[in-house]
Amino acid sequence: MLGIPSQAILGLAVPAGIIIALSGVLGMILGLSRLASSASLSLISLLVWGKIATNILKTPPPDTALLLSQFVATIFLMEASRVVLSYDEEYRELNGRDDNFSNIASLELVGWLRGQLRGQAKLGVSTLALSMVLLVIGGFSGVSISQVYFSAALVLLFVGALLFLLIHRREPEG
Amino acid sequence: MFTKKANLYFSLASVLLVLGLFLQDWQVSALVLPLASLFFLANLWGLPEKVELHLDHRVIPSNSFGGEDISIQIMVENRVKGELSNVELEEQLPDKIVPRQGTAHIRTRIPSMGRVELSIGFPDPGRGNYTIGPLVARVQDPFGLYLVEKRQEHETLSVMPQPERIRGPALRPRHLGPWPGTIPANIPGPGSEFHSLRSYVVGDDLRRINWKASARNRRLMINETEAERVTDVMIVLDTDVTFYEPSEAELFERGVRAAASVTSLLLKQGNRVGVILQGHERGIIPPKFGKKHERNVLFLLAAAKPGPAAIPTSYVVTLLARLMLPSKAQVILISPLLDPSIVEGMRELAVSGYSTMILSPSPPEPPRFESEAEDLAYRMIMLERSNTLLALEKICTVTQWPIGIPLSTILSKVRRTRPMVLA
Repeated sequence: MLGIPSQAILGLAVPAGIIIALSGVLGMILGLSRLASSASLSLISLLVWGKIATNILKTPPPDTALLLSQFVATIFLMEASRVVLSYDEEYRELNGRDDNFSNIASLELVGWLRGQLRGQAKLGVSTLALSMVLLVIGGFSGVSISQVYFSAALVLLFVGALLFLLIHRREPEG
Repeated sequence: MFTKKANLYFSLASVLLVLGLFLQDWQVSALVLPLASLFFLANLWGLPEKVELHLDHRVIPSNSFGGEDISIQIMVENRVKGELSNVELEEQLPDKIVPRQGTAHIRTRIPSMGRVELSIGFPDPGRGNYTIGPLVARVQDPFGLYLVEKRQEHETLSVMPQPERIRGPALRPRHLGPWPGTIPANIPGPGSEFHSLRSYVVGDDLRRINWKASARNRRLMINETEAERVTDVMIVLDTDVTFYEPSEAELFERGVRAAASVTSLLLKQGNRVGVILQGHERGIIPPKFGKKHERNVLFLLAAAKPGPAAIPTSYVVTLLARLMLPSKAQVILISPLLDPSIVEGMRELAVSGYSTMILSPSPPEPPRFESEAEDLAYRMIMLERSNTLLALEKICTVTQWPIGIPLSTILSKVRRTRPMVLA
């Protein structure tokens, strides 16, 4: 499952997969956003833990591109499920009302859902593509991770760059 | 600003970086790449560089007498180029207002330089002043990492008590203003009622000559009418109706309705009218004239709530009447008379020369009692009230208003206006 070594989850890969899938589906059907989000977060945690486990257990590492794709897909699914649940919650409030005000609100809500899913899909695909490009560029540079000081400096530089990107265009508003 | 979610993702990225470094596993570190890319792209494409929103919300009608549906019209305008794909609008409403049409919380998107207009409809929530809003618009990127929040200040919906068309009580205060009104002034002047006879002088209207009196006196006599003037009135609404829970609300609403109706009528007649709310919530409006003043009084009455008074009604009445009214003006107390200490206050006012009148909504008899003790308590309260009424009737005009009888009928019968016993 997800390229995670079976020993990493005590040989319970199938039950764990079933439990996560069931939680996600139940969360979506019953409109329990916490349950659905928990399933997604568990999946992300498993993904990361699986990768760490391959390192600890000295098993062959998964394909990096595949790992990134799984990571992005999980984030996308988690965010998309939150959007659908928000839509569902608000649509339920308007459901059964046949007046003009409610009809306009429903139309706006449907437009929002479409726009959100489209926007998330676009950002998700672009994120994956950019990650791959960065990965390839990173591969060309060929810095060894065993050079701890150099790696630490790189990490700091990266965090700085990330912070710059975060605040460059969107200054916090009061 | 960053959302909580953005902080969580950022923490995840940091944890992955540290883990990758700690385990010397570049694949774990590589998981930061999608998160960094997501932040970067959400920043770049998720929102326009500057978000400029114009918010507006209006309550229609903002002042109501109840019995009609009320709507809130919301308009949000995007004043920059670039679509806002994730806009959350929230109109904060009091608990008593439950939308029947539309919704107070909606998600939408606003096209580039476009606008969205939404409405919320709800039935009359009952008498009161309600705070509508603030209207909050939260604009986020599709992943909800960045947030720009705009607010529009709250509006006020006032559901005021509807003044009834009533016939006024015959008020006879000793203090009268200089302007023409409806209160007989006991001096000759323009009016409708006969006052006295006097000798004709050049310039008098010939139509006013009393020919019979002229024949008797062998000189021309003129009919004089009684001047009608305005006065200053202070209406005191006693909101302490702590009595019997099922009847409290009805008793209180009757008092508020009476205060609104009497104020409206007296203002229409040209009098200066002030209002004192006496009870758990207090409010004072000094005597003034006019339509705008009537709105102010109704606005105050809209906010009235029943509750026991911290300061005795008699103290408030005597103190404020003296502070705000000219001597010998009119005081009208609207009270269920469940507090016997009122007698002293009214006695003091009467001694000071104020004309006083009490309109007392009578507490209705409960259809049944839960226990014998409750029945006994009710009878004791009523007995005490009867004693208060008896004492007050010697000081001022007291009118009881039983449930089910129109206020106009009750007030039109108020005739006795001078106190018989002052001390």
